[in-house]
Amino acid sequence: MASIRRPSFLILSALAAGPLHGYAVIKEVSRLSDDQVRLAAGTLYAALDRLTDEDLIEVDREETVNGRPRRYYRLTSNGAAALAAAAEQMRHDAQLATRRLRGAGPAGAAPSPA
Amino acid sequence: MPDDPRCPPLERRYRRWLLAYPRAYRRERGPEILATLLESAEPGRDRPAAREAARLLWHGLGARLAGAGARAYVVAAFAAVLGGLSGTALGSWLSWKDTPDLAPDKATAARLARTVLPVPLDGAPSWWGAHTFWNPYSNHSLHGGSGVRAGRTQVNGTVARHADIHRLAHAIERRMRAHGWRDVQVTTDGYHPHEVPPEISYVSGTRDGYLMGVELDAPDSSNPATVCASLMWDEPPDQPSYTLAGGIAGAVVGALLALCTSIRLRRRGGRLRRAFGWLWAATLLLVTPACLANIPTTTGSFFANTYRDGPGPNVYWGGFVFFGAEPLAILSLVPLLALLVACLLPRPQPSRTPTVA
Repeated sequence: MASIRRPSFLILSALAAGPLHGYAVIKEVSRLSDDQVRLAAGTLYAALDRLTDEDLIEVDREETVNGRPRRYYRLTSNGAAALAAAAEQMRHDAQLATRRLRGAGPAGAAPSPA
Repeated sequence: MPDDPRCPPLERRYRRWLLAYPRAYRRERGPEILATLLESAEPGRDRPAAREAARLLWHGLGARLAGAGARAYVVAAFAAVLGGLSGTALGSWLSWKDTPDLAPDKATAARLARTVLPVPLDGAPSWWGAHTFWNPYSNHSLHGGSGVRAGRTQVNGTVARHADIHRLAHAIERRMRAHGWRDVQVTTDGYHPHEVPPEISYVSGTRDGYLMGVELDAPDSSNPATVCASLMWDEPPDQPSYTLAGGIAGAVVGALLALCTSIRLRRRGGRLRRAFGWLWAATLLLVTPACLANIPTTTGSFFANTYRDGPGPNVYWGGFVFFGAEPLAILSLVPLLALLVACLLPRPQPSRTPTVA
């Protein structure tokens, strides 16, 4: 499975807790990334289109609020699996990097023999 | 509608930016995207943030191009290259438009030759030229016309049989600089001692819109030293910018035309979709000979080298006068116009099957 880009990973993570509409996804992504990733609406909907084409998300329901349409999205089973796989890969990579940094000691020191 | 005065300004402006998206996409997703844009806008804002607008434009155009198809990108790549070469030719031709067709007059050539040659003139100035089958505009070449405005008026100088062309070349260089000629350069091409001539020196400079090129041939066992000054029109100073702008514009227009016609014809279906490939193939094939002949080089166009008997002005549209290339290039407008007409045809209405009550 191809690696997921960070904005897509964050969108899937935002939807992991339950269906959300577009603006709620933008807010949740911003919260999950400590305000580092702020999705523009154009970028969000391009990502939602792509994730829908890849069968990772789907439309949950539609509502009308204050005369304007609101569409909620949810993770599919494929999307949940892809998110879990991506999270596991990141956890593995983070553990590997942490182990190697501990083994290297202070910066610039030669690595200790295995 | 984007310009409905009843809409708040911010909504009106967002609707305009949403026009970047294809119509079908706007119909399906436009209201939802607009709702999200308005919810996420900062309070008190009455126009979209620049970043937001740029993203809408970028993704909207991306959604349009997604309907183009892989073949369209191949056609667009070829159209960009050939459009760029055609644009280069057009830009260069426009910069040369005010330059006279024929070479400088003989009186001017004689007058300016005296500011260049430190030796007496040998005879009257003459126009060099020959009618060539490949250049349909060279009929007036005996009067200095060459069809690419690079005709030359030549004046010979009287020199000693065994003159030292190096010393003479540098004497010409000093004389030219003293008489206000600019960009004066001396180059020497050495050949085998038994070649005829064994060595040739060139001195060139520009002044008052003219380009003077002097060729000095070294003497050999059979022939004396010779010196010949050729007066030509200098390159227009805005030729580089016109040529570059034309090339960029041609490439962009070619690529956009290919993509836009593909998107419109894909929606038509059937014969018109198939016609897209054939019409573009015909257009590109017809314009290819002129474009290949017009590939820019350091001495002008690939097939129109104006560096003959010494330096000459660069002409970047000469390939389009090459025999046969010009009429084919003009003919390429026919399939191109057919493509544009096909894109403008009204879309056929879907047929309705009658229902029985």
